[in-house]
Amino acid sequence: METKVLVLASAMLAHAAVAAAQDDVAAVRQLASDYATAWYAADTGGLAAMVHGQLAVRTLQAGGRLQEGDAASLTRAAASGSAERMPALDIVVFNVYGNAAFARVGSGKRTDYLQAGRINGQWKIINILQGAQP
Amino acid sequence: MKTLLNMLFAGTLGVVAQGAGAAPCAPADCKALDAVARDYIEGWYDGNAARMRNALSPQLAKRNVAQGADGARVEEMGADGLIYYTGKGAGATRDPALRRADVTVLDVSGDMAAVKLVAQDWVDYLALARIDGQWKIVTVVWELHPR
Repeated sequence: METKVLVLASAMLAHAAVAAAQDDVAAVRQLASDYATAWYAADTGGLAAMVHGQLAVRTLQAGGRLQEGDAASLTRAAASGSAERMPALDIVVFNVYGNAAFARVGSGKRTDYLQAGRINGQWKIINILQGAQP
Repeated sequence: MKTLLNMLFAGTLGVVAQGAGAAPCAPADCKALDAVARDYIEGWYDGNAARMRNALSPQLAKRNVAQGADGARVEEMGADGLIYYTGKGAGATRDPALRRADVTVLDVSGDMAAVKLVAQDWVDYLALARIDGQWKIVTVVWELHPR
């Protein structure tokens, strides 16, 4: 009897862990998708809502120079560009571990590596490394 | 029965940890990325500031989410701080049992790459850029293992 209870409890724990992990991956995928959608729509308000106030942006430019940016420069860049037709997106959530996540948004022209943190229950992008795709 | 319980437990941990597969990459890139990740973590374990400096872009942004009494906050460190604390031996240990360093290359996109590092006490997600032919760690987000 005791063994059956232990097995049942373990199975329930495993099921809950699977569900929670799937929820986290889905939430980070949605964040990445919303980020790209807001960027291509020049939706600065939407973009600002997805990134943390301490966002660090590093843009790899031709010639190997890294340009530094932050949340304000990201939204300014989105605002200065006209809304574009959104290309097909290739979104991969590499990993979620506790309150940290790592994902990639590929759009044909460029790649954005997004590092996100769960802050008070909400996933926010806290680091971006972006550059042109080869 | 014990085996069944162990399998269930292991399965649970595996899902929570979300093990991601290694990405196919050119052998030279994979080798170089692995070497940079090892300069970073072995430099930390060795208290070797030169190895740490070699792994980092001076424009590093390293962050984690810390839980405080008034909620969560983002803590950050730049290259100078990380090199300083490495040189001070903040993470130095010679005990092989405390020097976990599992490196997985998750993705390579031209001159950028994504790497996962499972260390003794935490997981690092590393985003790297190839600058002047050298891979350097540019951004990091990390999370402690649950206790």
